Amino acid sequence: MSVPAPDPTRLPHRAALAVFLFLIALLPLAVPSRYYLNVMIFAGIHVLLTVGLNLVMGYAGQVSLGHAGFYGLGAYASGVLTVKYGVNPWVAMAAALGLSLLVGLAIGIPSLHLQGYYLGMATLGFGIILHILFVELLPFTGGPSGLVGIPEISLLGVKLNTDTRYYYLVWVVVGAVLLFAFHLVDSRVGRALRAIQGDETAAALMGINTWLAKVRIFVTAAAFASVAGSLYAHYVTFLSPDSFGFGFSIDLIVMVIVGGTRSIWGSVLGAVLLTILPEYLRGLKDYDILVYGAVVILVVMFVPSGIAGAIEQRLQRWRLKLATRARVAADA
Amino acid sequence: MKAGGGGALLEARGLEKSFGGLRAVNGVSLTVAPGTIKAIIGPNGAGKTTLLNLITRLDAPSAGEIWFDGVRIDRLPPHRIVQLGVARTFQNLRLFGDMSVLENVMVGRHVRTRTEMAGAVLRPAAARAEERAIFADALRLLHDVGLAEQAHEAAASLPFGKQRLLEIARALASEPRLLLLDEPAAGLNVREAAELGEFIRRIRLAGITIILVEHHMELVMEISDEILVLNFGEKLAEGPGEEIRTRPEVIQAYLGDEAAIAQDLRA
Amino acid sequence: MTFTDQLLQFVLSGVMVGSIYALIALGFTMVFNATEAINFAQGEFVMLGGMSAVAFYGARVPLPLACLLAVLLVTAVGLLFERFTLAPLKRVSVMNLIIITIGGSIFLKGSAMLTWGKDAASLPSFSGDTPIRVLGATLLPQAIWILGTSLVVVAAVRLFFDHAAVGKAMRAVAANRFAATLMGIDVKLMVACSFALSAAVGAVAGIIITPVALTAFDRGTILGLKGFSAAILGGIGSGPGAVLGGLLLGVLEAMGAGFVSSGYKDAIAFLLLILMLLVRPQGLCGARGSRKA
Repeated sequence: MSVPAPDPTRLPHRAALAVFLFLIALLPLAVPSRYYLNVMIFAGIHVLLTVGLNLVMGYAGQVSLGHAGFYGLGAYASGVLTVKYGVNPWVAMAAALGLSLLVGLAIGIPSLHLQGYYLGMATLGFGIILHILFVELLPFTGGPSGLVGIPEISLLGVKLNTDTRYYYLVWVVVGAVLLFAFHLVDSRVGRALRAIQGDETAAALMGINTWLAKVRIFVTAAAFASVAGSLYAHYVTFLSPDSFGFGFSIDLIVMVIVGGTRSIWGSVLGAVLLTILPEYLRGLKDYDILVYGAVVILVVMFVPSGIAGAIEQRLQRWRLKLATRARVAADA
Repeated sequence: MKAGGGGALLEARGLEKSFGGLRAVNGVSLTVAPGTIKAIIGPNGAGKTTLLNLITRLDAPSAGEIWFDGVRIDRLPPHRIVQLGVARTFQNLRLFGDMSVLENVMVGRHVRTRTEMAGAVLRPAAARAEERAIFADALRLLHDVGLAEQAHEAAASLPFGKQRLLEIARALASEPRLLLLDEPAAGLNVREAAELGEFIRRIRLAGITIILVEHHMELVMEISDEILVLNFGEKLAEGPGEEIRTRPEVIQAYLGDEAAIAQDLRA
Repeated sequence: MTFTDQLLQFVLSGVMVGSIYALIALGFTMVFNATEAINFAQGEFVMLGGMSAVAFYGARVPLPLACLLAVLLVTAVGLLFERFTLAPLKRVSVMNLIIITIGGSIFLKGSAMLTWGKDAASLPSFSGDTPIRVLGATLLPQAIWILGTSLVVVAAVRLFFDHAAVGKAMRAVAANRFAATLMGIDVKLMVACSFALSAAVGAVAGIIITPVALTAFDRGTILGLKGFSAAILGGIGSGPGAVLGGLLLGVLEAMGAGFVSSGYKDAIAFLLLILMLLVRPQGLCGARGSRKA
């Protein structure tokens, strides 16, 4: 009998990740100015957000329209603790993470009984409530005029106060989160999530506690978003509530879809490309928003499975062709 | 004696289920002895699938109790019932279409394996070993149903008959003690149906008790130990196949209905 | 002002804003029933209604005609929107459909900004600004216009779906797309109709609110969100639910603003909304069985 080897169509993700991170590590040597590093730092922070969101939306199939709220929670918790209470940034980051986990649980535990658009409504509502708190808790957050003077981070006595140093900090975290995600999706837990996405009832009848699985992944995504927020806060050193509103939640969803749902690489691509795109569109002045809208529509219309989805389909066809050719050669 | 009583593996007492004004299941009791195949037959809309939905808690019974091996299960969530050892297939196939054939069966192993998020991410030796075991077990099951060659194809791309087999393999992966099959022969041709009958018998030989909802009378008569006839949500008759076949009320309500006969004989 | 006067005042202003939300929610509902998707550009139709009415009025078109032209223009935009984004697609997931409407909303917002600039604009009230006293509360004449117009629109939509042939066909599509196709109904046309109608209703909402709340290119988003929330609260797909959800949301908001603080009014409204959803996961008027998205 012929025993199939592990799925030949599956990319050796860890090898690919190693190559990718190697290239990322070389990038600062190749770019002409620190402006590019600045953009790539934001791109990295966005990857943390989209990977988490993709686990919730793409893999587990649960709509979340308030992801920016957790991003803001991480950012503001870090900012407020360091600015108002003089807490060490790393301690503040950990505290922010703890807070986000708690809030994630508080939101996820009741909401994840809801389905479809009703869940969308609940997450949207929580996102808006968090945003309002950022604006209204004036004594802590500085309100609409913002929170200023967030300190820089030091690591082992080295101040991470240059773009190059911060770039490496962010992308080391991104690397860790990507490894986390690749391992997760290709495991018993990841299969359970995809089963829930495919058919929640059938998943429950496979013995999966679907609600618990959904809460866990929701909280995980909240944690990623919180870390992204803390990294953002210590990089820009200034926070304004506008960065964490509904609009940004939608931007994140667009990144995930354009990149390709149910693909971790898709989330990386989506976040990086859609962080870079607006920079290129800056030359268009006010017309950038038109082009951005049009690009979103056109990508979803013509590449509905996202960029990564399209690439994977292409690769799969190519592999099948190779496999067939090999079989024919063996028969001959 | 266990609370379930009488050495039955499954016992349901006075089950009722209404949807709006419609009584889909009305005062049905049944017992299934371990190691047997019990068939549930009846015209369309008789409440057969609803009965399975009550046992697996997809629908909550309006009244009545269900005991499985001494444990009352009618208030447990579905995933707990699966843990106890009840698995099922669906009349309208509910595979995870985007996942591969192999992955579908691997999901079936979920309930008998333990790796949680930490293990999945950190991959200690125990988690890796378990993952390998899941892979091997799933592959073995696919081999049993003759789908090993298609292991890496998308489940949705399989022909209909093979999807049915895959669903059974996926259910078996959870190591059930009781397997509920909802019209497994629907849409199969004569040869496939015969193979299915043979396969169901093998499942029973492995010690798994089976409840079979089926229209295909030939299959039902051939493999089941007992038959329960439902009509309009109520139990019409219960007993060994040959006896059921000759009961006048069954003939009148079900077998006597020419349309039903035609439908079932053709199936 | 006594407590009851205050309460009455809040309820009145809540109902006024709520009827705007109800109209927007009705737009969401119509498109949802035809396509199963949430059209996130619905809020932009509202904004475009207000902005184009301002533009026509600014070009010396008499106010009633300016409003009419604005509704027609936005209806046309709704049709074009459907024609160039959704109509060419064959098989598409609901999530992608939503993203396309989000892209469309960004596009419409940008177009409005480039056409009319970034400043807020207003229309004169339809019949003066002398407040009317109702019991212990005061009411702007425009509020009467808003309530009256909303009532007329809701009634007209109801009559349309109950009696007009096109309305009945649209309902058939909503109930069962496949069966509707078998009955010879042109489903694509009905989807286009639902967009046209939802755009028109949205435009009306945008026009009548402009004299009291101003309008600007970026006002569509928040109005759209409120309308979406109202539609969900009512039970997605239910017309009466949309109206009820809108009114309820408006009143909750007014109470929150009045009794707690205006800064927290949305937070209070959304919190109560979520609590209600947790108690009734299918919305106020939603069918129990229809829980999937």
